Amino acid sequence: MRRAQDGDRRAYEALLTEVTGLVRAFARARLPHADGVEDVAQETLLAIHRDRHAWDAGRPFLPWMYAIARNRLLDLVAKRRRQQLNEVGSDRLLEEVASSAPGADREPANRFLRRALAMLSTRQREIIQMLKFDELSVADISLKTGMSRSSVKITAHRGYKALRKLVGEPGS
Amino acid sequence: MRTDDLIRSLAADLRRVQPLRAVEQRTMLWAAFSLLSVLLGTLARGTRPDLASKLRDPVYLVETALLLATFLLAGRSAFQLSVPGAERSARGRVLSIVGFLLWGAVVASDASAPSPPSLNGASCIPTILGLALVPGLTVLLLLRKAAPLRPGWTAGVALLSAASLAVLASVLVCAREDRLHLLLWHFAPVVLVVVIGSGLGRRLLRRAPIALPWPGESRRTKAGPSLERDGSSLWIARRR
Repeated sequence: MRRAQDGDRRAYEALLTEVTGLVRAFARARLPHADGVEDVAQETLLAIHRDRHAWDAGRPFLPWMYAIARNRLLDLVAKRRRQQLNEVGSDRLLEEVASSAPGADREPANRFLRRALAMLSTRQREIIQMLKFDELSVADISLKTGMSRSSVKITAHRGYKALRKLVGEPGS
Repeated sequence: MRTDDLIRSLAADLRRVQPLRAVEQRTMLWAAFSLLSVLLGTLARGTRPDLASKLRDPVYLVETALLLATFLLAGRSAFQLSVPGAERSARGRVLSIVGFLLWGAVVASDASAPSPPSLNGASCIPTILGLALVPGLTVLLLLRKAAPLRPGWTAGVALLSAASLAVLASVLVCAREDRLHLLLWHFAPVVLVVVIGSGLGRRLLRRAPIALPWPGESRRTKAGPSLERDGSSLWIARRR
């Protein structure tokens, strides 16, 4: 790490590779599902990169690195809890979008929903369509798209959030 | 593979950085600067007329010693919290809180305190806040440059340190000694500052975000690279 602070790229790459293995093992031992392990590893690498100036050469490296990994892991767990709570609300919202949209009959509501969906990013639209219209599970979508399950959930969550804004739901 | 790409990108983006000074060194430098700024503020404000006789009063000396200990312990804890893994136990920050509460307890139980108490004396609040301003702002700026992982605690103990130093200076300035005055206008404002500071910790110590961006989004980290993520591949676009 001392060499990395001095700008030695080879030493840094070797260090990050070693850190990745340690963080994966650390996260695997603490997460109930393996799908968050890579997220924790990547976020830890990014945090190490951002905070590498804050490592004190007079102190051991591992406690510093594990403190960051632990922080990223706790952050991820908290984020997921929040997302799960939000998803329940967002699921209901999507089902209610058509009926709450302007217009009395079903067709204008559907048009409104299609227009709102069209304004999302391609990835968000595809994920929401697969989840809500094709009724695929998160695991199926993950297999189909090659995205991790957590990425599917996060993309869907962001899509719901964007939809909520588009339909002007109070509190959005 | 994706993580391997990230490692390569981070390594390619590596620049030499100036490491932070050791925790003890940063604490000492900040404490010295804060003591100097508060001393100047106290001299500008003028000390209480009976200061010479008060310095022979053992209760007064215990009170000032507790405030000084709170200032040093809380300051050290804040700088420790700003370096990942540097705080081996919570003893330092717990002791600093206990030190300040003990000061409150000594003030509240001081039998020699004159009576009757009065609610007047709110002017001590601007004095304390004014004296705490320079140490408080500098410690927050210094902590933002480090890597605090627990911003609530870090900001809380940092502000406790700055505020307890300001209270220490205020008892050198303010000659009022009734318990209600000291508890209401010296002790309570510090508690309020610490609680609010702790609650606003994330905002006060906000740093460059590190969450991975999503398709179509990009951002710059503090270290410089712009990160983009597209489907399953993550790469770093070099700064142009």
